[in-house]
Amino acid sequence: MGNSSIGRLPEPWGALIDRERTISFSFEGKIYEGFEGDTLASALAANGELLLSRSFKYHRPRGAYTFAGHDANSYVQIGDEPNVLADMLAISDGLSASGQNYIKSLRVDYAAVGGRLSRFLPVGFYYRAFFRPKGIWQWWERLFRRAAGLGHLGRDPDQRYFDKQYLFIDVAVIGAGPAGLSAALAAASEGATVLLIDEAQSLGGSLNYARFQRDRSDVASLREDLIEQVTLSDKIRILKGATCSGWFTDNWLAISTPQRLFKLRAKFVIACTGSVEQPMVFRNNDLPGVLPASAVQRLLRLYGVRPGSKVVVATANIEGYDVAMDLLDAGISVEAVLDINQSTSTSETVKQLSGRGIAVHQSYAISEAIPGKGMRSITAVVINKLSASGETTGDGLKIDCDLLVTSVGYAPLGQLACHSGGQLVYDDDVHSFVVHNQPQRSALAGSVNHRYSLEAVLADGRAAGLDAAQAIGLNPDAPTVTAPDPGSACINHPYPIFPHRKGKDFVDFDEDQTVADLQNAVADGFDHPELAKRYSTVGMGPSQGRLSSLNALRIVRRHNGKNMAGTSVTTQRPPFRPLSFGVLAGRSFEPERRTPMHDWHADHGATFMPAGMWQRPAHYAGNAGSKAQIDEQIAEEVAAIRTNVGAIDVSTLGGIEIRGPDAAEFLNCLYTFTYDKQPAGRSRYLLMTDESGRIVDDGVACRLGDEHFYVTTTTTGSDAVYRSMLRHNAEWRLQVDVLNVTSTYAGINIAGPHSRQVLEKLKSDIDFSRDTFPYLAVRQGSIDGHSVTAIRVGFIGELGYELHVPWSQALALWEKLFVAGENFGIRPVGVEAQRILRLEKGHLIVGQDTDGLTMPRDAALDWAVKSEKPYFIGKSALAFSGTRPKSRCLVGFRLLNSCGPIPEECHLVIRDGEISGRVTSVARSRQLDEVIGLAYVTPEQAEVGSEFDIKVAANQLIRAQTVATPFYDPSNLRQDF
Amino acid sequence: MANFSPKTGISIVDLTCLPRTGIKGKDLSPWIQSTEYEIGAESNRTYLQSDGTLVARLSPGELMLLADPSDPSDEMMVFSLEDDYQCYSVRRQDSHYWFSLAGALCSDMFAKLCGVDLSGENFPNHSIAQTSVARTSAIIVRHDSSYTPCYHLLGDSSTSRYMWSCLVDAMNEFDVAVPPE
Repeated sequence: MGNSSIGRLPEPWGALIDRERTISFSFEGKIYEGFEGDTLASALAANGELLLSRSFKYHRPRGAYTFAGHDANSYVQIGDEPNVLADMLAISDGLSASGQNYIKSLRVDYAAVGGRLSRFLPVGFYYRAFFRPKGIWQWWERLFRRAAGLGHLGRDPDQRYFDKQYLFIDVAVIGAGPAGLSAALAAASEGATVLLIDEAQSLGGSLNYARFQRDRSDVASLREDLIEQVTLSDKIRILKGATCSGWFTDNWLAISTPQRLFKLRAKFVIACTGSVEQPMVFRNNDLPGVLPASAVQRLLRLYGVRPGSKVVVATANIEGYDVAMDLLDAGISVEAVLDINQSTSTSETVKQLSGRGIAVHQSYAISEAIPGKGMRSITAVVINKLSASGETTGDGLKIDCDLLVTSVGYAPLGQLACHSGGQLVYDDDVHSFVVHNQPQRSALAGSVNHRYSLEAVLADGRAAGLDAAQAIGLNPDAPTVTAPDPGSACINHPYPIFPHRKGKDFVDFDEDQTVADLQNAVADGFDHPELAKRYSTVGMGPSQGRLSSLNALRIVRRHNGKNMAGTSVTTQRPPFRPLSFGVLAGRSFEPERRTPMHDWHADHGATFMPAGMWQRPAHYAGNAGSKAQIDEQIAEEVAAIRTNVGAIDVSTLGGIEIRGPDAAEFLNCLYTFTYDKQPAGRSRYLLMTDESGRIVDDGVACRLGDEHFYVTTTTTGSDAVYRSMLRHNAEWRLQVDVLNVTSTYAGINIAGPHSRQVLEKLKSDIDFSRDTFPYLAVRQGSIDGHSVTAIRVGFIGELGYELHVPWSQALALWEKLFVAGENFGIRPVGVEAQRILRLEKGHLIVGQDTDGLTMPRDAALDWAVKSEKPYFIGKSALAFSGTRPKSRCLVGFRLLNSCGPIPEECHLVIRDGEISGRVTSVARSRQLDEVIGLAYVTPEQAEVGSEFDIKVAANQLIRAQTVATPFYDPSNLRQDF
Repeated sequence: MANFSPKTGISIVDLTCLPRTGIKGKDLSPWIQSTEYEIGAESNRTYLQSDGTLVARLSPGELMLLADPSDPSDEMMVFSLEDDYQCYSVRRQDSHYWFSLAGALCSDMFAKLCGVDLSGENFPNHSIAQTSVARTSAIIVRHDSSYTPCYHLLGDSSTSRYMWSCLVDAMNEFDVAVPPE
């Protein structure tokens, strides 16, 4: 059951909640009610439930600590999403949440027995255990893997919609507290556009709950005034409920919301990220019922939650007295106030407190909190007088209470600045970290900059805003420097750590590290904070050391005897808060290119396959389900080309126009062949090598005029070839113009013995007859009103024409070809059939039959290399490689047993048990009634008639024989039909 | 669409069927001087011609001409490229789709697809950005209409369907006017 002393305060307490709107939710299977505006943690607290989670190592009961999302104590499971911060999650109707990291139930956790074994689990024990006897680690590993991690992740895809958006602004202000509001207004007043970012849905930050040593109504009025100014400013854009998760080079900020990641570019960044209140260290300081002052003020002012009925306040600064006043104002009994300073505070607040009859124990500290049932609450605290050296003395005095409030100072939330090169360094003046090496074009303001009084915070924010305006050139005369806050030295206690002989005095709540653990780490020789961190894991939990680094550093330094000034903590890395993978991934953009005939293909039963970004018809098997049915369809498509006529959509081939007086010379330099004497109206093979002589692309060069070439590339190589051409054109300064026309012209390959007849049925000014339009010729004209560039090609080994037609006219021409070819039984042919057709001709595909090491002679393409040319890319490398023996050859092969298993691409060629090559292409050819393929083999295996083994699945070796290519129509009679 | 307002929403229309063309080459500037086109030297900005043709200067050596959507004519798409100049025609009609988006929130919508700030004074009227939109190359031309921000988006024809779906998806959160397919 919950704590019955906890509940709701009357209005006006609870500025964020709407008491008219009740919300029902469940936690651990029990139904609760809260109000709109509540977080899960505040609503549970209002119901008396402080217990939210179990600690990672000892499974100790924990409740939200900061109520501001800075501690892992408030991690809960929401459906399939683990580690959701309960103190940041707004409740909604039907919300179902549960605790994490327990066995049986959150209230009764069997795994908590581990806490009793803590004496056997000293710091770094895992470095010294579990590896003896040999082989035992495998047993332990299973155990640890089960215990590791918090919560559970759903295995189903997250169907929520996530996306990303860029933002651009003059000045980004992170944090809309008093410093942020002041900074935004100052920057905007100088003409800067400002983006004001805050995690909360309500602007104001600490103005919403803090007292600032004055009448609370004054603070509230100031808040309303600032917010009104900010809201009315047309220069200020406000982004609520958004977390700055990362701050990267050149002021690139990652701003996350639940389902969108903003990528913000700011000319200037003002970090008003505030600070996080630090724990006092004593025995059982981690239990529900022990809270920092700011958390109590949040519960009171924001959510109207009465956090306890009998309260003890332990403070080292004036803010502890503030919260005592708040508690009294709320009608809550303050049993005692302990001041752990040696000297007595004389502030007005202290006098007021004394005037209200509250006992102030000067120079006292907490040595122990007495747990209630199940350690889910506290029932009392033990206080001890402090010695002159700051250590507890005497037997102690027990004071009954159900809430202990501590106020011992802050650590600046400078993590974001550290993402972009800053460093948190210990400073003796403020007994805390300060940010060094702050990123350029940025400023810190407010408590992150150790300004704590309201006047100092507002002045600091204003100065930062003016500084920003000046930095971006809006007001060169703006004053930019503010004086330090004289009160900042009195906020942080230098050593609020009071170890207990029985331990359980926690320094790190995430990792359950105690004072003794750190002392032992130092004693073991890990006496530098960096070493102690890695050895003990202090600061390595989800909170990233926000609540532990400062105290850990103090302990390490006290026990190694070194001065702490200038000491840094370990690197702070993004994200500032945990992010879901969905937010990080966002909406994925996967560009897809389609040819003009795409819908036609789909309507005719095409199954598409990707080729780079393109979608190409693999085959037209329609709804055929089995592989046999698909293979049959592919075989029919092959047969259509071999015996009749078929059309292949080759629009995906790259197309580049080279125009200008030096066009031929440009190609001479780019490709291995020669083009200066290529006559207009003819095409010629293209082979491109890189500087190391490796094949990178191939295609066809069509000379359309003396100064005009139309060049095709491979489907996936067009962009790279085009980039290469642009680069070399800039370097060589030839008189040419290079234009990528890949999507200007679509391509149709109509092939087969009847292809000419089909074309001749359409009205055209091109003579397609054999003698006037021979193999490799190029003609330009029109077909049924569509302008085309027609090329006689032979890639698939039959009479064939590639028709390159303007993109917008391609579909119309395609459809006309199918009407004209209807009587011939023309069929659309997909990529799968095309690959078989070209393989039967022994033609390679760059990228499939070549790799990053293939040189022309490896693939028997020496004929396409004109070494006599003065220059082409890769020439010198090819000349050098020609002096060395060949190590491999791409050859054609056939399987000796065509009825057995068929190898797949990349299956290995084996010689004497060693790898000697690999298969690059393989297919069953019905035309040849054989299984044929291409493979890299050793030069010895390349001899026609040689036999070699191919290792297929299950380590089976099958026998293949090297054969000459082309496999089909070796005399090339059919393509010259 | 009946309640659509350009102040609060975004409209999109496919102008791919309208005439457009291009010209490029190292002699572009002298070629321009030989014509009646009024085109400045500054790249990445547009120059509106008296006949409504919008000339986009993409670089010192490249122009793109877009027909006036309110009065498209094929005539302006015919150049006389004489041999005196090393200038070459570019078939923009086929190579590029042409979408037009209008509305005060267009730049917010584009920010979901593109890393260039297309808002207000950072991308004023007549500006051109040649950049990546939803991971594809695209040309964005700002050409406002009656004080309503208007952006012409041109990109590779083969990606038109993909880009249209990306735009409609990005527009979903706004008050949108999308013509039925």
